[in-house]
Amino acid sequence: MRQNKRSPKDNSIKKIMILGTEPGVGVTHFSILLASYYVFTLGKKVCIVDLSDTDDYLCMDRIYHGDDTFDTSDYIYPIKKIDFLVSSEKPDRSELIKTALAHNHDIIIFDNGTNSDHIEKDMVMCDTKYIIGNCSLWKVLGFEKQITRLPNIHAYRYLFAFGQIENTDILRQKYGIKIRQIPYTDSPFKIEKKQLSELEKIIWEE
Amino acid sequence: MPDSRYEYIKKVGGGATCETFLIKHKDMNEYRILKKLPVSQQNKISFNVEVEILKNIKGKGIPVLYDIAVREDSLLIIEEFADGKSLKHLLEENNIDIISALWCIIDICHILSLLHQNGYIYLDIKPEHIILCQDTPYLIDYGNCMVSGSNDITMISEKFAAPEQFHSEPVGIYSDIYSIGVLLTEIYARCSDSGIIRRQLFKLIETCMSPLPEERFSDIRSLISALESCTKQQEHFLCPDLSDNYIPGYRFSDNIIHIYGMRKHIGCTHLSLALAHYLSEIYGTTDYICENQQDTFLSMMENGILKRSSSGDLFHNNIRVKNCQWNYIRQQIASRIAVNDCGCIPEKQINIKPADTFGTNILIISDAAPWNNRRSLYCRLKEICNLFGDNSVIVANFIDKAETKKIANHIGKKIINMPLFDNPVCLTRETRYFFKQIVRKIDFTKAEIIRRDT
Repeated sequence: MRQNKRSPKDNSIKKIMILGTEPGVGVTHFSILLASYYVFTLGKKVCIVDLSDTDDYLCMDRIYHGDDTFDTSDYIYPIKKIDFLVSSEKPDRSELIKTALAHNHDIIIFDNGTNSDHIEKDMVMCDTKYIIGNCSLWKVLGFEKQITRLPNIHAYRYLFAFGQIENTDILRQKYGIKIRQIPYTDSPFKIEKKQLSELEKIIWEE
Repeated sequence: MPDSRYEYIKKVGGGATCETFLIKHKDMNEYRILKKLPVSQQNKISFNVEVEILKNIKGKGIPVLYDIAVREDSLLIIEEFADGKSLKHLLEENNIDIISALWCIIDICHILSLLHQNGYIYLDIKPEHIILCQDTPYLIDYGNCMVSGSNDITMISEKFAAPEQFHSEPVGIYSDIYSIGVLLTEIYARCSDSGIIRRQLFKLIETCMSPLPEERFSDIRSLISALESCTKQQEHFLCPDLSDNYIPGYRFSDNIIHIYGMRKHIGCTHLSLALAHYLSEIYGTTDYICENQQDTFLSMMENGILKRSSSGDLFHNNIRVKNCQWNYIRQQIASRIAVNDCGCIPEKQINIKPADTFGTNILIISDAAPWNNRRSLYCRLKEICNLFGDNSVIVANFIDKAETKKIANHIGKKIINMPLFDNPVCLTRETRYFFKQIVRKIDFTKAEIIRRDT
C-alpha cells in the first residue's frame, strides 16, 4: 500500500460514482474502462473502490496475483497501473471509503454495482455520478423505473452498454436527460482510437 | 418477537414483501408462523385481505389465524404452522407419485372453491405455497389474494400467472384455474411414474391453460370433477400428433434449437431473439420459448413489445413468444422451428432436456472478461461440449478472435464469433452472415423454406 497519505477531506481528489440499474449492465467493465482512460491517457493515479455485491474484483486479483490473500480484510492491489481497493470479507462501506480517501490518488472511482442504498450520500460526496442501464427492447422500461427512483435525476449522467439508442428517445423526451452509449471494447484495460472519442464525450460532457 | 409469550426459532422465508419466521408459543409448546410485513400502502391492503380471509374462511388446509399486531413499522400475523414439506420439494426430490400429487391438487382446489365462494381469488398458486402436512395439503400465503373482478395487481409469479395478470386485466376464478394448469404441468413432467400418462390430464391442462379465459373451466367444481376422473384412469397416453420422437410429457417442434449461456448476462436472450427473427425470415413463423431464469417474458409484457393475436398467442413481429416449454405443447402450434432461450447453465448441474437426445441442436455462448477465470472456463466448456456431443454449435460473445482461436484449439471444436449488434430485430449484413454460418450446421428437417437468404 502507498505510504503517502492525504487528509480524507482533501478536495483535490476527484470522486466518481458508478451505479448500475441491474446486474450485467457493464458497471465493472465501465469502471475499469474509465480508470484506464485517466491512467493511460491523462497519466493520473486512479483507485477503483469495490462497493458492489459481486466478487469480480476479488476474482481478478486471484487471476492476476494467485491465491495468496492479504492479512487485512481491506486491501489495495494494482493491475496495469490501476489500483483496486477491495474487501475480502463483507465490506464496511464507510471504512472502505475512508481508506480510499486517505491514499495518494488523483481520482477515486466508486463501483457501487447495483447497490443504491447510499445513493443520497453518494450524491453529496461524489463529483460525477454515472447510472448505467440497459436499453434493450425488453429492458428499457426497467431502466426508466430506476431513473424515476433517483432523488434528483438531473444530478446524474446516464449511460448504457447494451441496447439500441432509439429506445432512449422516450427517456430523453420525458425526463430531459442525455443517455450516451458506452463504446464497446474487448478489454476494459485497452482503449483504441475509435473508442477514445466516444469515451471522451461521456467524460467531458457538460 | 410480537410479545414475551413467543420464542424465536428461525427464519423460514423471505419474499419481496414480507419475512416469515418460525416461533414457539412457550406456554402451549406449539410452533406457529410469524409473518412480518413492513408498513406500506400496498402491504396494508395485503395484510387486511389476508387477515379477513384467515379470520372468516375456515376449512381443512387453511391455516388458523391466532393473532395479529399493527405496529408503527411493521404488520404482524401469527398463524398455524403447517409442519411438512412443500410440493416444490417433493417434486424436486421425486418423492411423490402422480396419483398422490393429483389428490393433493384436488384438495387445494377445494380450498380455492371456498375462497371463490367468498368472493376472493388466490392469484399466487405455486408449489412453494402448498405444504403437505401428514397427508393434508395446506395452502399458505394469502397476501396476494384479490376480490374477484379486480385488475389491481402488483406482485405476480411469472411462471404461474395467467395472461390477464400480466396485462392488468380483470382477474377471476379463471385466473386461478390457469395457475392450477401450470402446476399440473410441473407434476406431469416430474412425477416418478410418468410412464403412465393420461390423455385426459393432457386435455385438462390444455383447457386450464387456454389464453382466453372463456375457454377455460367455468368454475373450480368442473376442474375438480375432471381431476377426479383422471385419478381413475389407467390407460397409457398417446398424443395423436406426435411423430416417432415421442417423450412422455413433451411434444417438440420438428426443429428446436436450445440456447445456453455459460453465465448470466452473456447474451442468450439477445441471440435467441435475433436467431428467431432470422429464421422467421426464411422459414416463416418461428417460436421463441423463454425458459431462462430471468424475468424476460415479464419484461417483454411490461414493455409492451408483445402483441396478442386472435388465437391468443403473443407475437413480436413474426416470432411467437412463449413462456416456458409447456406452453409449447398445445395442439395449436403451427411453426416448425423453435428457439429455446434456456438462459444460464447452473454452476453445479446441467439441465439437459430429454429433447436433446432426439437430434435437436444446441448453441453455447462463452466469454472471457478479466475477472473470469479462464482456466475454469476452459474446463467447464470442455465438460459441457463432451456432454452435448457433436450436435452442438459454439458461439463466442465479447471475445476477440485471437482469444477465440485459443479456446477453440483447447477444446478441439470450431467456435463462431458473434458480431456486436444492438438490435436483435434489425439484422445487418454482418449478422446475417453470422447466422448463416450457424444455420449451415443445423439440419432443418420438415421445414419448408419460404425465402432464400441471399
